[in-house]
Amino acid sequence: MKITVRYAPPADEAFFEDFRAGLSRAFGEAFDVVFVEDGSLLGGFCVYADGKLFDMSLKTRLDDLSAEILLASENVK
Amino acid sequence: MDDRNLVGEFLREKIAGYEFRPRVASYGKVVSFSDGVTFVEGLRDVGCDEIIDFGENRYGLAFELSEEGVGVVMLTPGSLIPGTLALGTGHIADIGVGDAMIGRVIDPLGRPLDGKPLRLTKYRHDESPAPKITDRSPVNRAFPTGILAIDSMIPIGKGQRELIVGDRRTGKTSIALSAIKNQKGRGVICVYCTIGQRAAETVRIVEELRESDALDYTFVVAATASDPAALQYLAPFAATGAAEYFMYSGNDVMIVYDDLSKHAAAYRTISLLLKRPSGREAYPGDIFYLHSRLLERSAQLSRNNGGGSLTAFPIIETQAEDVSAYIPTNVISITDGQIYVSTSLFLGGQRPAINVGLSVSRTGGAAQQKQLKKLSASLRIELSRMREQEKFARYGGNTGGDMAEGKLLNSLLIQPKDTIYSAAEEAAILAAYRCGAFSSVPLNRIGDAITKMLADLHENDRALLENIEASGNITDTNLDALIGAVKRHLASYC
Repeated sequence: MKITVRYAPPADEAFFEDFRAGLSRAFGEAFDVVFVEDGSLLGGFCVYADGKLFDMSLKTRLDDLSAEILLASENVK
Repeated sequence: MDDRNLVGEFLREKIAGYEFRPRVASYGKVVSFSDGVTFVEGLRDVGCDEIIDFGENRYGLAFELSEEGVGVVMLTPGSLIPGTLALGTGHIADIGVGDAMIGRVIDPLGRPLDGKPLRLTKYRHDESPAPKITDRSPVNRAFPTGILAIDSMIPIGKGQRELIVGDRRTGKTSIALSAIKNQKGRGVICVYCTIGQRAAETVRIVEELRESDALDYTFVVAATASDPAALQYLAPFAATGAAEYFMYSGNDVMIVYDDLSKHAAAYRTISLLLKRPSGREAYPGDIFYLHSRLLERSAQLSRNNGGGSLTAFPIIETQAEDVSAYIPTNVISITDGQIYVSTSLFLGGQRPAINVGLSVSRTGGAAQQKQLKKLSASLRIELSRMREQEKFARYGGNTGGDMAEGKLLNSLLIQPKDTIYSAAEEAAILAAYRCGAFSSVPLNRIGDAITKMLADLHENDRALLENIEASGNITDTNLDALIGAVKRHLASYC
């Protein structure tokens, strides 16, 4: 299986090792992982594996929070 | 606590209570792209009509699901390159709804096109089932258009679907716009959906609505000729979704689809690009179902369901007055009647150029206001008789007085653009015709005579007009008073 991980810098060797270990627990040993640096994520990472995206990026968190605040502010009005 | 502290407190509370849930979505990769249609490999869990995110504000609509992948039609302009990531959003095409959309111009995705922000927090799916039979009521409330020819001879009821059909440049849009303008002060919310029209024409229509204060109760959903075919395809569904929000809130709503010929063409484009089998005139096999499921969403809801209504005016453009072409016949058979606009009448100076003989309203008779029903009972027959006499006269036959009567009636039905009549005014014109008050007015001065007569009535007999308007009926006493008044006013004119 091919797995792509997009991550926001900075990241050191320990981050990659931890990530590989986590992926082995989730997907077993048979996978190829590619790490791609992506500053637009602002923080965190996104994993593309087996046709699914697992989005743990700071950008998505902020987008969600912003949408939630906008919705709540409408209700306050 | 001042406002700044309140805002700070509100934000702190929201941030502290925020719980992040990782976003999990299906993804795939673009394999090919051409003419606004892309094929994506992967995307295993997407649903039909799901919005697909290609990043950089590029979106598409999942349209064709197969084992090999997903056919996606693009909702945004621009191109994609193979290998581009496509994300399923889990979000079925919908539109933001709410009172804030009244007076606004939006696209089928709910994005404002008039340069002002629009914030809506409720959504309705573009596609949703039509009201069930048990949720409906019979169409029995009048929907006045302010156009004498329609209100007297092709009466429309709230919840009806009345097609406006005719060649280009014959005044189809003008009829729809007059009907919108006539809803001022009647509590009806109007939706004008433009599909595949020129952007300049859309601007002109919006300005016309603004100038007549009709934008106070109208919003426009626009997909112009330069928009992708998928956006044009979505436009009437999105507009109907928004209109349904108001209908299910208990409001009377009117919607104009201008026009469904271009909508059918947009759907044909998409279908051909997706390599779906084509049928008559290269339209796909489900083109009838496309329009029937759209127009079935117009209804008069029962009182238990709020009593709201959605009255639809789809517009179809014909080529060389051929109503037997595929799309016109489809929509004619779906709707509850049609207003046929004729090129020859238009060129002959009859405005609106409604051919009453070919026009029909299948349900509106039950909803017609009583005063108009009483006064317009035999008008269609009189007009038909005149047409027969016209044919007879071509061979030198003696036509008697029918031709003169018919010509007078035709002149009465000429209504300048932007002139709309109230029900009482329509009753006054018909009463004047019935009692022969127009017989001494030259045909070329009928329009002036009507204007003068109505002005005099408003000045001297306002209470009588208001009484007829408010009651929705005309008693024998009121009819006598009205006839007396119109005779008096027209006598001073002749």
